[in-house]
Amino acid sequence: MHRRMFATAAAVVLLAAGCTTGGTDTPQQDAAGPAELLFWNTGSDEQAASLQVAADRYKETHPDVTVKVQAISWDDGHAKVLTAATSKSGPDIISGGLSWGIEFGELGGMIDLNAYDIAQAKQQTRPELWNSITSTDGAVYGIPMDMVLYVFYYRPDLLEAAGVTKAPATWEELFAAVEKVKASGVVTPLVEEWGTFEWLPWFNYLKQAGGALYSDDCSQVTISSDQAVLATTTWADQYRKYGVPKATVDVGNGLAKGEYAMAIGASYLAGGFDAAHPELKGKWQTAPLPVGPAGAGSFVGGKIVGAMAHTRFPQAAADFVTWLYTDEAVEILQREVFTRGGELYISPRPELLDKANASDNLRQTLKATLNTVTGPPNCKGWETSGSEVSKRLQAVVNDGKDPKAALDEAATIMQDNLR
Amino acid sequence: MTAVITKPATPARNHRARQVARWRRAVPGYFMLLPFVALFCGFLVWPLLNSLYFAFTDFNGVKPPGWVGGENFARLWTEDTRFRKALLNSLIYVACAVTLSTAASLALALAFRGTSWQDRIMRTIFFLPSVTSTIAVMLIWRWIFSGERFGLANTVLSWFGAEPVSWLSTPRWTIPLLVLMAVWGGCGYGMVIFVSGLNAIPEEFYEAARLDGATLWQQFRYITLPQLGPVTTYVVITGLIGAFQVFEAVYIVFRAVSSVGGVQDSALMLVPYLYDMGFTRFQLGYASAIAWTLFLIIFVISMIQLRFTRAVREL
Amino acid sequence: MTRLLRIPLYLAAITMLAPFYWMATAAFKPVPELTRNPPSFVPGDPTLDAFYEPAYDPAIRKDEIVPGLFQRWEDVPGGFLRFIGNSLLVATTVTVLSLLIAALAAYALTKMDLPGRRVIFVVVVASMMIPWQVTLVPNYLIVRNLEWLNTYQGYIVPALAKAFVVFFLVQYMRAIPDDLVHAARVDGAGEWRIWWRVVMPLMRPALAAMAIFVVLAEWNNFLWPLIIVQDDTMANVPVALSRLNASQAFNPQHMGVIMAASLLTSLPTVIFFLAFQKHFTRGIALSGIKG
Repeated sequence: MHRRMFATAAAVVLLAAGCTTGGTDTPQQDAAGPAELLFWNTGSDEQAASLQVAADRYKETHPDVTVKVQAISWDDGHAKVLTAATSKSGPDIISGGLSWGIEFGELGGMIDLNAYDIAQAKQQTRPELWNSITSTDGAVYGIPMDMVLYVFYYRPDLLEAAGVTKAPATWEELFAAVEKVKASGVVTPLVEEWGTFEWLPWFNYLKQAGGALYSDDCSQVTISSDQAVLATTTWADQYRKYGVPKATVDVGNGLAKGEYAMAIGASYLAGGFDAAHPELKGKWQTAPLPVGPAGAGSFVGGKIVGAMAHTRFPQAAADFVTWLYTDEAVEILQREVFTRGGELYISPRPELLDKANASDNLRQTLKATLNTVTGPPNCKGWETSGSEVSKRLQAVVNDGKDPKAALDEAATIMQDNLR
Repeated sequence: MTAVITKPATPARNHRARQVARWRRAVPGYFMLLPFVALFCGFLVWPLLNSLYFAFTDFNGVKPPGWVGGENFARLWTEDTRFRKALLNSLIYVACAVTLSTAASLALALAFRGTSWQDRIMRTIFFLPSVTSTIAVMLIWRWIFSGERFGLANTVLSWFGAEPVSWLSTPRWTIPLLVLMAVWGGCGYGMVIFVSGLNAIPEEFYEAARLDGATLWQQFRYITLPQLGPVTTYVVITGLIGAFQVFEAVYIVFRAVSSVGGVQDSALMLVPYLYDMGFTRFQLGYASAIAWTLFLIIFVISMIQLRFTRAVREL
Repeated sequence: MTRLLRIPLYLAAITMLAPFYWMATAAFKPVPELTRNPPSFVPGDPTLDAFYEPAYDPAIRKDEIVPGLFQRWEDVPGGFLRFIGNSLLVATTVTVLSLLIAALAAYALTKMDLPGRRVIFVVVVASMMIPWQVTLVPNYLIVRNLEWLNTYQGYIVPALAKAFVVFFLVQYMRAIPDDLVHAARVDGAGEWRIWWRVVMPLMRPALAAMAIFVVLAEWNNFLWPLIIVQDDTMANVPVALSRLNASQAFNPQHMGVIMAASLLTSLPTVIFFLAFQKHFTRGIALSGIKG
């Protein structure tokens, strides 16, 4: 018995030793027979379940194509997609951060969807968003799947109690409101959610101050401009002077308990407030983010969805991916994501906002916000530079570093990564 | 002490016959070694060689590796500020964690070395973290150090009238918290080793010392500590190796969305950095260079450990 | 004097248990109680909702009702139990096979006169100093090329060659008198027979100690499964835990479920440890003292 075991073990090792690290190329033609597509959706279980409902509907009209949706988490999703790309196995379709398409695509892990019919999707998506997901050479490795916007949430009653009659519309009004609300006894007047204490919320201030990370053609790093210094100072003051927590908080819970009066947060939060906190119903409002010296501006994020390079069914995968833009698919996702996950699903097709599960006030806010959004830069190396920029910014708050010096350091890193 | 064949002076052909016989007798031995050696080569030695090769390439996991010579190492050792941060963090963390947990282990061993039921219960309590799932433990810590008011740590603070602290996003708390977790998790393991070390010291030593009027402190200083020497070395070295490889604590408790190292990389250590470069930034070649640098550091430290060298000599 | 010195240590013991207590209580708290301020130290209204929430309906979202632990992973047959099963299967197989393989190797290295064994032993010992992360990337590629990703082989086979176990067993085996082996050889017994009949029975304490080590290490294994598992049905318990944590990262309403899962993950090893405590501590003591 042992002998057989050893023989197996030896065979195993010989096999292993004989293998090299290369792989074989996969054909771009769909394999014959019914297609089974595995879709790794980065996000919550509830989101995956909602997508599964949509995928089941897709099967009704495409009986040959079965899509199975699986949730992978944001924490290890990136690593999992990488391992799938290197192993040329696993999912056929993936969704993930807006920059993932460019990143994995340039490694050879994803299909350039330009070979398929994405013209309509491009035309339906906001150009700022489409630019963010297009490689500098024009390749589109993943198309936007949803949008996330920054929204200003607040409790009008708490603001009024502090003598603030309307939502702050400018930076000055915002910080004046924070001080008044603080004086009226609210422990933490303002909180930030979605990329808390990282570059994302800072980017809003950058846009409102009139700055940019790179020049439009990605040839120059423009992060150490005077506008950026102003944005950084203002952003840092939130934490230094106005008591904004540096860690992610439960916005709904805090608003409901009256511990927070205002929040700058992601649009998807809006779906969950009423269900999770009935006492909050009717007591919260939204507004676009306060504007800075250069007017309004904010970050638009979301996810891309695309097909992996190793899939045996590229045509079917590309077809399913673009199907997500249809009225039918958007309607299912709007409904299911809301009922299952308590999140607001915003399709990349802005005109469908009217059908979203949202109050009039929220819809107005989102529409107004959409006109002034900017997506993440599509310049080379930004994925790596982003977290480095965050750290330099954090040093301004934690170590009292000079904003200009911090931004200069960030610029050097971005410049290095750009090459 | 092993079964070495005696070697009397013999004529050359006799010697040759003996050699043949020795080889023949050895055949079943090689068969017995085969499964281990085969697996060892297939899943350790061969990957190691591969990894060494990758360290000199720009391998990114998808495209075939291209040779870049010592560029990865040059960049790592001379230019990479994140690596320097990771190394510095690791060194501070390792020094504090190993010192404190060794001291705690020794104190616990001295206190609870007996066979009474109280001592046994105490030993069990202190040993529990060593057998608990690391991930579960790290999830508990993350829950305890929640930045909100309902976090256990902040509740305890509030008893003393202090304001809540956002523990996990305040860089100056990072290393102390990691050290706390390490001591909490590791002191029981060291304790058990120290207990057996203590029990191996002959009681006569202490009797003689007491007859000479030695105080408790003198007994500890001149008998216990020297006798525990090799055991202490072992505890310290295994502690060092483990601490240099810390990963879960950083990955589960401190990681931020954009970066494994947490706020301002305050929790960045060598293995999380390796993971970050390898599995979130695709620089598998560079990650291999980090891995081999980590090996060099641990190797230098481990070489100090006489235990290994002696074990080899004895064979 | 020594009694006085012990008092702070008794206090320390309470702090040792505090995290466990916090986990256990959180697992039985109803959702609103998790975020109550100040928190409750004894669940005011203990409930099993974190394990199974009868009121949960995936189609209807209600306030403060989150799916219980055994209601998650709808697409995995068995849900959380499946992960426990995966972990158990992998842990037992790896333990049995790796100990057999290591015991054979240790016997050949200590009780037989093999040319070249010193070299082998030096290499094995040296390999213990290499952080296993060094082999992470290439091993992943090997397993991928064998098409073992997402399989039990992928979990098990790369974990079978354990240098530390060989090292430990060699140390222990040296203490077994060579005369016993010689006597058996003189009686005409083959090496396999001597290994199985003479040496292995004497190795029981060492094998037991190592078995516990290996079982625990495999039960808690995280990074390797995280990388090779592509499909939830193949996840082990730590990976499932991490998934649970990551997908609900900053929503404290799910902490009850996460703590319930942590509790279920920790309990088996703790019970296992309590049952085999003697072997365990002896094993650690041996590993520290000998050699």
